[in-house]
Amino acid sequence: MLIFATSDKGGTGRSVTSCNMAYRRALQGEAVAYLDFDFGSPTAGAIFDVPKAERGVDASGLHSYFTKHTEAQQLDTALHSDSDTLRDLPRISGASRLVLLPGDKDGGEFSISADMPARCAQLFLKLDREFDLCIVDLSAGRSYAVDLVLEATARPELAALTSRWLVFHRWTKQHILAAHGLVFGEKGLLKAGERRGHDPQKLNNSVRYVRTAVVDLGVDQESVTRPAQGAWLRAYDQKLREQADKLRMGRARLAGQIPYDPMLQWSEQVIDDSDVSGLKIANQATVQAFEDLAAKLSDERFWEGL
Amino acid sequence: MSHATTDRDPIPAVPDDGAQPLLGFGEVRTCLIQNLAGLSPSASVALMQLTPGSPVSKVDRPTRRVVSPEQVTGVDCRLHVAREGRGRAIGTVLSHAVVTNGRILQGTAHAALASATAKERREWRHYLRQPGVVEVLGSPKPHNVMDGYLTDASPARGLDLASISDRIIDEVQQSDRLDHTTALRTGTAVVRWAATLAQEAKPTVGIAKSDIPNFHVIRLNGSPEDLPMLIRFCEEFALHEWLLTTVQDVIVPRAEADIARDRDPLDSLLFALNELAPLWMPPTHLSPDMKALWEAMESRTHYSRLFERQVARIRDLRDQVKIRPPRRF
Ligand SMILES: Nc1ncnc2c1ncn2[C@@H]1O[C@H](COP(=O)(O)OP(=O)(O)OP(=O)(O)O)[C@@H](O)[C@H]1O
Ligand SMILES: [Mg+2]
Repeated sequence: MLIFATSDKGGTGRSVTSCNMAYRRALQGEAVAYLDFDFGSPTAGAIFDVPKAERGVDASGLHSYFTKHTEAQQLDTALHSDSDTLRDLPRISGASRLVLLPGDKDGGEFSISADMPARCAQLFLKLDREFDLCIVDLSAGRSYAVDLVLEATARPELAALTSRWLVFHRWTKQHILAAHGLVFGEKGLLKAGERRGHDPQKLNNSVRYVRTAVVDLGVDQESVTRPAQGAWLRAYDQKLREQADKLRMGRARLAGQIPYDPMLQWSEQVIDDSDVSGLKIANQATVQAFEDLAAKLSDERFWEGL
Repeated sequence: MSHATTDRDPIPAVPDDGAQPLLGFGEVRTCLIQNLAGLSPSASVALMQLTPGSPVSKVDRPTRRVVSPEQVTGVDCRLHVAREGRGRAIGTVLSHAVVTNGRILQGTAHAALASATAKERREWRHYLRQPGVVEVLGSPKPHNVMDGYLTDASPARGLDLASISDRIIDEVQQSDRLDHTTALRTGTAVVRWAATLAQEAKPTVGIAKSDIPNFHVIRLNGSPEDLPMLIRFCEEFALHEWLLTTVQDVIVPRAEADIARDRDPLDSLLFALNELAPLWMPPTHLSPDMKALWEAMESRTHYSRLFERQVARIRDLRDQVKIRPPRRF
């Protein structure tokens, strides 16, 4: 299965959330490949704490795979990460592998040449032979990377592969509108997909939304101290929900809602249960939200046509 | 559609004008064909028809083995030489694909290295007359060339048989004759080998240990005439090694985890028993030399015994699941 992670605005939490989702999925027993398609600023190496891919690798990353026709190197996070969480993954019973395909240090966006979509499809096919799940972290907005994967997934050799899209956005009026525009707008995913031979209806059925860094009003929040403040936040939250509903981004299409977590605000990283129960520096609700999002990826009833 | 087939494996050429090969290099990749069902004999032949008009070779017993025509790739590159010495490699590399029982795909790239027949690069016509022969300009010691090749972690710098064998796999896997459905998620295994060739040398084999998962290194000896047999031996080793790894490291652990989590592991257990176990057919019937090579390898690795044990384990797991079926959600 291919999961494309995208967002309209930058800095939404797309990469941090996707990396954590990838980790949970590997914990659940699936072999996961994480592809850093954010060619301009690859950050997955930093989130997974892989020193040699901190800002992308020196050679044979995904950028060079397309522009220089080198092989795309695969870094097993259990071997290359400095994070105990990831190094311990193989020792957890029933867990599988989490492999990073990093970007290149001096990558940058590139325009798509004629052979790239086929090369992209070839990469996806190859990874599908080995991995249960490929998570493709695209850059924010309508980038070349988005066009590239739309073109690749329209090719006949990828017809048997399941492709799903996650659109990440923050829980604000502007972010909801922007995410909506990314999917439904004139230059949005659906229109762009249609031009490349996708059925827009089917494509839309494969899109779900993830709300990131949402202030959790259910939990005692130290930041919400006055009653008036709480009341206003609840009312506003309701307004945002109505807005999302109207824009076809409501509950039925909600793949996950990740609470605002002070730890993640300061440190872009993969968190695990020991950060919650042992060190108590992350919130249980955050880990649970990653776990639920990961489980949703293969919940067929959730992805059925609406 | 009908396809030309022969019942022999293709034989690489030996250089014509006296250049005797000193080394044989190769790389074999092994993986599952990306198709839900196993391919029929005719579909396998069609898939291996990489060069229209050239014969595909096919053997039906003990397993069905279909081999594509050899593809020719021109090379002109610096050699990666261990320790001291430099060399430039010019000539052609041969590569072919093999389908076994309509399930397993192998991509093999190989070349015979000989000392150059001239001090400088000759016209391409010369190199094209001896497909599969790479001439070495400069005079690095053969054992340094061999070690350089076997230990090169990024072969893209030297004689890059890795990408040639990778490319042939990708080419076949992209074919529109396949439905591109992954029947079982497994890795691609790589076997890199090198042979020292000398007139009248007896064929011998040594398997080196490697720390990289799914990567094996083989050192061989033999006479130049043995080269086709050595290539075949490496393909057979690669196939059996892949079978063992897949069963032992993929199917059994996954089934055990599935059972622990109350998920149904039966599909992959049955796949192993029905599709993979019957492929365990050591090539000892091919020739006395092949038999000797295989037995030498077996006496150190005990692969057959390990495989048997894994298959027994799979039968146990299957029976266990049959008695107490997992809860279905
Ligand atoms: N659940 C969360 N709670 C608090 N802060 C978060 C949360 N998720 C992400 N962040 C913070 O948001 C910032 C942006 O995150 P991230 O880099 O994942 O976003 P992105 O959408 O991938 O950005 P870009 O478009 O630059 O690739 C980071 O500084 C991160 O620490
Ligand atoms: Mg990012």
